[in-house]
Amino acid sequence: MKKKSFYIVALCGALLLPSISCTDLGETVYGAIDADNFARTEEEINGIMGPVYRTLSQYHTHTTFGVLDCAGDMPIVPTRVGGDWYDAGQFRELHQHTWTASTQGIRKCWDIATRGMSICNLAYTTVENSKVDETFKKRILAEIRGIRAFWIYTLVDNWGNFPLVTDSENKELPEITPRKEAYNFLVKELTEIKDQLYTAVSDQTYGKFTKGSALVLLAKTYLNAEAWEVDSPRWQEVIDVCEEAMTLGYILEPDYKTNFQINNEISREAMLAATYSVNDPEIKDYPETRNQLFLWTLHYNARKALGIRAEGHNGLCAQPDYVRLYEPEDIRLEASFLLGEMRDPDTGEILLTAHDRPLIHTIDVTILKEDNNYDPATGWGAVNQEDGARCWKWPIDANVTTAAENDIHIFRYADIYLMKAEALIRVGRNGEAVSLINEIRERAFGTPDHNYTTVTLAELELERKLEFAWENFSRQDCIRFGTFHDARFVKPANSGDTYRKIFLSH
Amino acid sequence: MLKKQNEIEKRGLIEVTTDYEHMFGKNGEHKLQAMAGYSWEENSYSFFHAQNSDFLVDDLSYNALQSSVGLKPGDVKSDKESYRLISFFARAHYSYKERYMLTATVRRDGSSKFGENHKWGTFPSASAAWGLSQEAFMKDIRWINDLKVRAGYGLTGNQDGLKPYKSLVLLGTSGIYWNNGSWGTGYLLNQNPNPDLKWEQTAMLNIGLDFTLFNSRLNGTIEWYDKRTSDMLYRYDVPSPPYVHKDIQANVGDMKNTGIEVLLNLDVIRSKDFNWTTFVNLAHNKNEITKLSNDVYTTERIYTGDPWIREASGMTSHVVEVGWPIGQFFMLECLGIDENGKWIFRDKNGDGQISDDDRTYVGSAQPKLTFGWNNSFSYKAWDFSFFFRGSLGQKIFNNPRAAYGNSSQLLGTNALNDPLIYKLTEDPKVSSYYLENGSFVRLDNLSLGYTFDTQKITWLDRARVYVAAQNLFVITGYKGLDPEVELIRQRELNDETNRNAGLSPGIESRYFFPKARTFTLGVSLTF
Repeated sequence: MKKKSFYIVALCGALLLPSISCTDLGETVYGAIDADNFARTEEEINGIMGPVYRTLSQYHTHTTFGVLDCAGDMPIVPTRVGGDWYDAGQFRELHQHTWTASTQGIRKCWDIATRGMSICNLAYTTVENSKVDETFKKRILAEIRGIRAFWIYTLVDNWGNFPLVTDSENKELPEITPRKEAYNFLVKELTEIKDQLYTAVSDQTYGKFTKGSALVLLAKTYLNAEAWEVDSPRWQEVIDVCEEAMTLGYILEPDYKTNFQINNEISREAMLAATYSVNDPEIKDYPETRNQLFLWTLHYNARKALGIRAEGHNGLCAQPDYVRLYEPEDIRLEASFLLGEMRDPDTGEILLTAHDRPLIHTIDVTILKEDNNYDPATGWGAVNQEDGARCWKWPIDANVTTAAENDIHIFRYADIYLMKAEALIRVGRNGEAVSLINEIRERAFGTPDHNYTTVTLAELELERKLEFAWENFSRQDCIRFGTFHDARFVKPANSGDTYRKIFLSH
Repeated sequence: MLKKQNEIEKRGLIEVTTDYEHMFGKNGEHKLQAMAGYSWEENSYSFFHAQNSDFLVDDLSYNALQSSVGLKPGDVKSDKESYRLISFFARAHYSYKERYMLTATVRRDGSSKFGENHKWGTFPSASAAWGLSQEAFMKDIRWINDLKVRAGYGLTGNQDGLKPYKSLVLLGTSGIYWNNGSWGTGYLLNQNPNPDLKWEQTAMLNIGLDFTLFNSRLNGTIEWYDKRTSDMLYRYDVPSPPYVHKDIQANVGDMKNTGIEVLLNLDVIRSKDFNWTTFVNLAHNKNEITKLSNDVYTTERIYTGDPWIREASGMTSHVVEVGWPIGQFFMLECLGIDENGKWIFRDKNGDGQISDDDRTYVGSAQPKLTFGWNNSFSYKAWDFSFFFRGSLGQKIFNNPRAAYGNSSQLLGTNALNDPLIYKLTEDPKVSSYYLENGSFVRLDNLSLGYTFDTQKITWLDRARVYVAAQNLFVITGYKGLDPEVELIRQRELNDETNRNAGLSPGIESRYFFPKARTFTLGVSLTF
């Protein structure tokens, strides 16, 4: 082609091209929503609140904060014969108070709590910038602050010092906030928001962060102020907050088990509920949003005996001395623990474990000294598969395969009773505490025959243990009552290690 | 549970080029060629999935998914994504008498996947070649038929493997939540967006020598190269707070590859009835990470790799670290097993204890030499060829042996039939004990054929019958199943594991499926 013609064609081409938008590289998004096009209506705001509330679902499910509670005197995850559940020693380390910076369970819970805080911050910014009805917006913003306060409380209780962040925009690495400052923030925050939340106790407010939720969280914060070493004892404040909570309309459910059954959303004792559904989808990268406590605790072969389909992982069980605290007439013994022979309903025979041993859940957990997992230096070793009382507080049925329907009530009205009773005893008003403890006991025994005439801190401490098995209060209560460092089952006393009262921050 | 799923990938491509060629000079010894072009490409991927469970009978299979009430949220899914690539490119080539040659190219590439201000990149390159054999002073050297020296330097851009939309602020569905008596769908930011995402770039310098010698009996190439890759795309872990998700896609990181490749083709015997040609290629590459941090994202060392041993979950096997190659094994160094069957590890930091701090650099999964050797013979109507392929110097972590070659699991589970069962009394640990030399030579291909004389048959042009074999045997010292291990270890098809699979090569998976040995008998006819 001649030079001239070549240039003409090239010129025309160059002129034509831009007009066909042949340099357009804008992205069209199909499967997700542009953030600018959302949060415009109340419905959409509720959609954004979804993940905020579901952060609560990660609190007490398969190997989350229940693992940290192993540092207390209630749960334990022993190593089974064959090496199952040794997991680089993390459960032993938590039980024996020898954890290190690489103990996985601690890191996992840290990530859950800090992410919970970050999701709240992001939702707060989104809702703040949206243009919806002011009254609705005010309540939603208060609820977000409330959920965030729960995670801050968790961080203060377990780690003490952590980066307290309330801003979702700033991407710089945040600084660590000392425990005392975080505690002050928590008190101020909860006091500010409590009257901006739902006050009613009804179907509509179940599962939300209500005034009751703020009060029970505030009471817990004041209750532990001395133990956290951030304040002088705040017992009077605990009493005041509990009395305010008692005006709202919560009740002690007449049947203890109503709080834990499959349809426990009818409970009017729940003060902060993590809601779950049997239809909960698996969320990629964040598997702990489903209720899988049953998977963590049940033996692999127990399903036939229980009439369920789910096949457990045989991990979690109770420390033997804790189970021995219960009197046989206490409803809570049978309501909390799965013990005894697991029989096949068709043949009547006792089921067998993989090692051909009868599947009988014993209270005792026996370390096998002849097994090659036994380490005389720590006293830790393997136990038989069937040992240990299992968590059957939230029983499931045959509909469940990977997710249970039972909600987990993180805080219950029974705690208001016992917190008030504890504060009264600690300021010397033991007489007023007796009726509070007795109400709890009467429900548990079904008769007033086991009621107390006088109470001391010892009775209160015992009642808390009996009432709250498996509910993640063991570590916190042990620290407050000064028994955290005591010698326990396969754990020597470690009173010198007071630094162990908080976990290592990341 | 029964399910049905379809995935559609659509690709649209427009390419326009224009060529120009001109010869000038007295005898046309100057030649100029030029080319300019434009290409536009759009790729879209859409996916639809439906499943249902608790069917009464299985007879209908997945063809009537509506026939059960077991439908749950998450059972029906669909998704779609697309991205676009646009390029403007031009090339000019000049040569004088086939003796001196110059080429220059430039590309301006754009990809929709990158951040708003970084979608375009400019990638030029230039090379020069000198046809030595055409020079006057080389005319008398008979044994050299052709000799060319060449050198080049160029930049290319890479955006492969990056998913689109990573720079945007997007909300996706996230679980269900309880509101006033019923369940609703939750929405959450579905990624940490990075608006600064841009092209990954590789700069390559290469110098080569092409030759044909001895009456065209020997020809080959020797080439040396130095490749520097910068702004590598990687998902960095970020802290939460302030981020909502665990990681972010970012351009940080530089890598260097230098090496030599040699190709030789020799007609050993050339006669009327019998011919023998042999072909060899050898390659040596040295890979090194040269940078992992910038002023925003920093990391000293990335621990990666996921060998699975019961009781040792969460252990890593590799590191990605400045000054070391990808595939660098980093684990406890094992000095042997003592007479009681207990491990002896090297106490690297001398603190009297064996812990994760005693891990050290114990070898690389990258080979020192890869080669191929092909021989073809022909005798009258017969033809015969065989091809060896090999790789030397790489290490492999024998995960199956680590996981199953011990007695601690024997009650209730299987174990490998390995003398280690009797020797080891402790639990296995991720250590250099299971790191083996993975060098191998494989007879990849063998073929013997006979071509019939079809000259007399008018309707048949050519007929050949042959027998061939693939993967006949492997010569290796590796104790595992096969020294050529998979890169993506199909454990749980978990995003987290597979994302970094390329950064932890050289682990034989516990789920590895061995390669087949194939024998083929065939007839090839041409009409």
